[in-house]
Amino acid sequence: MNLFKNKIMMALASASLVFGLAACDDSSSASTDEPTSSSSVEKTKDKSSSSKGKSSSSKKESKSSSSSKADDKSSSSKEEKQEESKYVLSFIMETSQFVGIAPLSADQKKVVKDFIEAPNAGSVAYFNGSVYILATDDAMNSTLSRYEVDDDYKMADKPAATAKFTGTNAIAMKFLHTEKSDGKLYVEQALGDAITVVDIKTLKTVKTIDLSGYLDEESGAMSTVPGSAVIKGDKMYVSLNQFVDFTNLIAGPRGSVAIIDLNADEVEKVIYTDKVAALGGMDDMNGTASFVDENGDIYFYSNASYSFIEGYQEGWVRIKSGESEFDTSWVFRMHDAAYDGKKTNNNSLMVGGTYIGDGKFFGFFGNFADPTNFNNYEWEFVVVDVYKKTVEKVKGLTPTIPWFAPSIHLDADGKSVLVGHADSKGGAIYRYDIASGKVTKEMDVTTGTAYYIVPIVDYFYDVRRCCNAK
Amino acid sequence: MKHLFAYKLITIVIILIAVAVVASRAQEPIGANSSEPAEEVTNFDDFFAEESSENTNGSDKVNEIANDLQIGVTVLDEMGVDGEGINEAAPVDKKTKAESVKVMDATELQGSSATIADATNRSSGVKIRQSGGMGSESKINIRGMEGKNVKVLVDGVPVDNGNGNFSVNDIPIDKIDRIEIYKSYVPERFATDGMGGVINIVTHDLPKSSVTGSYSFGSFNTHKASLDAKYVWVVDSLKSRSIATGISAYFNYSDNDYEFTTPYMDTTVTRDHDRYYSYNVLPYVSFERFFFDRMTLGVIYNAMDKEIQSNAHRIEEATANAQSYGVNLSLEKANLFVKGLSMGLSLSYAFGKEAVVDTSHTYYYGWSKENPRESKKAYGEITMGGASHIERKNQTFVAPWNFDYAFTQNHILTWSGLYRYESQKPTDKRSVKGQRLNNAGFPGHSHSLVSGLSLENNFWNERIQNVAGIKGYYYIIEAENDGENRIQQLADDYADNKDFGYSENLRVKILDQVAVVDQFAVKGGYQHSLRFPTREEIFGDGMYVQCAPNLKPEKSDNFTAGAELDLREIPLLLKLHLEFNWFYMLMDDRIFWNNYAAIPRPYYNSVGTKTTGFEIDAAVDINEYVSLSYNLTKQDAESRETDLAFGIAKGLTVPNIPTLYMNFGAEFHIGDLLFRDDFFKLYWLANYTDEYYYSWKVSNKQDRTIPSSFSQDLGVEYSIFANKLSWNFEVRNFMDRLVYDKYGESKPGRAFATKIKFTL
Repeated sequence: MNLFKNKIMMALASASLVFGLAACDDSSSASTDEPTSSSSVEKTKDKSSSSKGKSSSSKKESKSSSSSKADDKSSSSKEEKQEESKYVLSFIMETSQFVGIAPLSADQKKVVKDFIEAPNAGSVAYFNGSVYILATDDAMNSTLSRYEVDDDYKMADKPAATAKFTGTNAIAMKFLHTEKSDGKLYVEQALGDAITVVDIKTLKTVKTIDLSGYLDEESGAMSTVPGSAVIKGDKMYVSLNQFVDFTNLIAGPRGSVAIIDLNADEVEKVIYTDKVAALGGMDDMNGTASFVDENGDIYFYSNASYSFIEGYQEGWVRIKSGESEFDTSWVFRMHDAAYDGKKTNNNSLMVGGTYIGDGKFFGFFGNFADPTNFNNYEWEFVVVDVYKKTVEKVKGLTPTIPWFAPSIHLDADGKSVLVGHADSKGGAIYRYDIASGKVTKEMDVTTGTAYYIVPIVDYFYDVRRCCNAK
Repeated sequence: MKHLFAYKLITIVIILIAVAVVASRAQEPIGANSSEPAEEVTNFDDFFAEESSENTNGSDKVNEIANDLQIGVTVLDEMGVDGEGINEAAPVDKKTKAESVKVMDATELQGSSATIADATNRSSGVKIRQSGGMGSESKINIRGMEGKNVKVLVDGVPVDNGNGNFSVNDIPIDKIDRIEIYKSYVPERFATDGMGGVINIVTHDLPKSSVTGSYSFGSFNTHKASLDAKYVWVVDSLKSRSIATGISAYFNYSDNDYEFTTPYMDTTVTRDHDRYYSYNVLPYVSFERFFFDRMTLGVIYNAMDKEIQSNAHRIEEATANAQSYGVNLSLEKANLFVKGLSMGLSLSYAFGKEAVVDTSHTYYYGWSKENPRESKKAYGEITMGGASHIERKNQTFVAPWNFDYAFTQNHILTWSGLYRYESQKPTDKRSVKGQRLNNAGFPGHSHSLVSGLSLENNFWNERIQNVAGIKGYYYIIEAENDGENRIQQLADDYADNKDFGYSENLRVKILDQVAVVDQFAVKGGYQHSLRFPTREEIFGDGMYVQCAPNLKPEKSDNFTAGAELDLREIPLLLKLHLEFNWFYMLMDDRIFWNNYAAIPRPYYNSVGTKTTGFEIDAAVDINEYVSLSYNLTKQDAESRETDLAFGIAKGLTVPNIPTLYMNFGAEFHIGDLLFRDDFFKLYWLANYTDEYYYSWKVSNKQDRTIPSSFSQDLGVEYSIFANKLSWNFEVRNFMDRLVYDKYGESKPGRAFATKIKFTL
């Protein structure tokens, strides 16, 4: 049961790595349409994307952020490679996930035979020419591994560096891009009440940010589990899941977020809100429950521990740009929103999701009040509009059976969402076009279930959004 | 499909009836039976056959002697109550020769400190993987099927009684007569569900007024003691009436403080806080020849206490304990109303409680004491923040029966049945105190009834043996909504189901004592079997496992075929036994719980699997002093359909199941070495298990494996006074190799044990 609990914790929280994957320095001059650094690179990427009529990430793009390699990537041969966008893919099968690089046009059953194996609980990311896998075993001991990727998009079989974290169930990581260095990597020690700063290359611990001193004893909390997080400018906003009951995964009755100064790597302050219960999710591998919009406003979601506890309030809350407290005048209660012609009632956003712009969030719903939902293993994909306070069902995608947090990713061009999906007819990766709402199949998944679908870019265009805010 | 099933069922019933009728009139030559050596007479049936060579019509005397033999068999009830039970109807007899079974004579092991798991593990087709030392969980795998698909019986009655405090390994090997390992086959006469096979532990009784006991001591401060005492009062010698009373008891203790390593650690650590003890006391009284041939009344008390330890991090306080009480009445009578009809009936009731207490305020990261996490509230150690204190009260009533009717000495019809009632009342002590939601699961009860009809035929001096049977299943499982505050409430509180299974086994002796060939026989079998869903699989646990009231039983069609060859007095060898067995099993509706998906999540009927494999057994007596043994098991289980939703493609190897393993043995023994009736034995045992994958095999770069291992044991044994006093010394894993039974968890290294056994 320990394993299961681990998986739950993993799933409970997830969120897209997309949001916090990178952040820009204050020195950034990027606009909403351009990346923070190497705007020429992003332009190349955009061209590439438009030429295919869909988002496209490429090694060229990612490497081009590193000026020494940018020229190499502009060669014609590399341009050809660009035509075949590749992704870091991960497929989960019971106790393991299999990670490798492949285009979505590949025969999944064949390419997975060349993928490496890792425990199923954990996150996968790409940053500056390396694939990072942070995976936790059954005993909640985590291993962070960095695999180098060569110019032919081949991922090394053996890691170039590894780091171990004992018993802390570390499966969420955030990357910080900086102009002055290769970057920084923040590893959330979910059961360690801490965030560890590690060297991006060697993975050696640089500093540990202790969060245990911010225990919400007033709420009866036992642990300050770092969860959903975003990086905006030189600050990280990380939700603290003040768990009062680990066995049932019940977090505290009020939301709390730690604001961390990333220059000093120290907690600046912890802010609280009584409008909703605990925010974000534990082990938020993919940034599901938090995002920064184009205005620089930060949003956090609370599923109120799935409304198991009477009196817990669910919903979205926000921290307005330039503020360091919650906006007490705003809350979006999803239970009050219309969905499929009626109130969402007990529906809660489940793990997995991504911000897709203009106040919209692509995620999926589950309903804990309806047992048949579980027996049918159905999870509905939805688009939540936090501006209009609406929830819309995504057309063209049937409910999915597996419930995998990291299976929803914004593609590199920001115009479409890649979705892992499976039902009784089989598994697949779909692309959801944000503008048109159309869904197209990208890859049949016959071995395992799609888990991570990570575009190969050094850092994400979401930076554009975050950096627009001061 | 239903029509097909009905057709099969009707066909089998007709065949059974027809064969029974024909058999009842059959007059077969029986003179050849007289050639069987007297020591082959091990039970009622064999004895009957033996005597029939002299008296083809049978006689009262024969029956009387047969009854005497019955009395010589000790049977434990479900809870281990000594006394004659009905389940001597499941002995090693003719029928087992046709069945897919391996019988291990445990009497040779009684002097050793081996456990039942140790002994069983030496058989082909069986792999028992343990998660730790004494008192740890054992996972039994028979021909690729494991877990709930494999049933463990003591004297024919399933011991998985829901009380949770009965470990098969707790039974001292001294009390075991033999271990029957039914592979890919669950005999109808056991009247239980299950598909992969059965391990039936057959206990023995003291033959007369006597006292026997043993004590062993071994590494990790392990102590085992057992005592059996029996006194017989002869009430009426003419009528053979007597009253026997006795007591049987055992005590097991171990600190389990062995060194081990896991992939979570870079160093080897010594376990602590893993102490385990269990004991059992069962007085009984038995009335013989007071209408019933034997009527036994026994009571029992079992207790267990265990410190809980993890393989991943240090635990210092969490414990588990259990106690249970039981009473058993068993009745037996031969020639009930008509000659040839024998009956056995047993009634057992047990109640008990078990508890897991994990309320520590300190949690340790890893094994270092230097990295604790302190909390003002109970925090729990087994899982971080998962403090718990759960008690379960259980009641079990079991009533097995057997009626055998021998048309002639070689044709027997057996009607068996097993009714079982179980109730469970769990309490979350911390929930009661208002500290959290209830995590103890739902209270409830269940009734199950399984009844089987089997027919055994022996033709032409057992040259052809046939066992066919049908079995019917019915169960009701109910849960109670007790109003406790849980994450999940009951979606349904009732489930029932009924179904049928059937089997056919045939053995043909092709050569019988021809030149150096003692015998050459071929056999084949088929069974359609099923396994009930459990209470938790149907109703969930109120927390992580969701209710699945429509869950269907698992089903399997098992095919077996084999050949055996016995040679004697061939050049350089005294005896040679060779055996080859092939198996092919098609499982449907595999009950599966996908722990990596959403929570809470129900069990569901997933796609089926196909298991194929073979076994080779060889045993050689080189001369009267030296014997060698070897067996090999190769098995492959794979998905035979595609589970589209979870991407389990057709043809993938089912994970975490050993695919190739071998056992080796060599023994030197000699009698009358120093004294008359002494016996000396020196033996070497070894096991090789090939590497296998922890997860589904999908990638060529997969490296999460259970590594191959080769372990060797050495032992020496010496007994005097015709085995009334014996001493044994054994070194296990004497090369101190790293051996893994589970992914990443090494077993104890080199260990020794010594044992003294006596009989007065």
